[in-house]
Amino acid sequence: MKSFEQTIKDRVRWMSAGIALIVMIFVSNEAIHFPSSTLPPMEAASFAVGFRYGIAIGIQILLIRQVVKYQRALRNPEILQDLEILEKDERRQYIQMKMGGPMYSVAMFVVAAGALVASYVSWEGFMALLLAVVALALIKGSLKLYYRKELGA
Amino acid sequence: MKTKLKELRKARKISQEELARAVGVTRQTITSIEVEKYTASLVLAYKISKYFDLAIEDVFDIESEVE
Repeated sequence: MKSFEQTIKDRVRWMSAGIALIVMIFVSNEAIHFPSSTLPPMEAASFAVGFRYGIAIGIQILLIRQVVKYQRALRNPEILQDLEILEKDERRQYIQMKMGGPMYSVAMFVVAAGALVASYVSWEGFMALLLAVVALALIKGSLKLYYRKELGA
Repeated sequence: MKTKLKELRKARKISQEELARAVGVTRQTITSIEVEKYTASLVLAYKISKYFDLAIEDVFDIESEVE
């Protein structure tokens, strides 16, 4: 229980830093006026800006929600125990494991298909998606090697 | 895996929630074990058996899984 409490405290610290970082990026973005307006068609540029803001606000809301949840748990041992049980529940972990493995391959396939489509439309889009596929493949490969070594096979 | 968990729990008038808390899992996990949709890990099977003061094979029918 004590180590879980420490884990939650650490998470709160990291998440608070994340919230502050996003705010700083927001403020500097507004001050410096980043290159989005130089993107070719105006509709695309405004869509890109909207998308960026949407992502940033979404992440911010999720982080704040999580920090509030963790703070409540840190104040109440019963809520903290419930949270620990929920996080360490073996059936839940099993479901996530079953879900995660195939989903990673599906995600790689979808991004690769996106890269294929983008290759007809935009060089930059194609390169971005191709790099994403390479990054996903590298992460998958490293995880496979790590767990093989970790499990002694 | 076949299990006598539900019978044992009912005989001792213990709720799923109580048992779940005692062994450190969610109530849904206990439900899944009882309806034989999920097979408990060795550690969880041990914790549950210990909670009832029984041996693992008295709570879980391991033979049915081996066959």
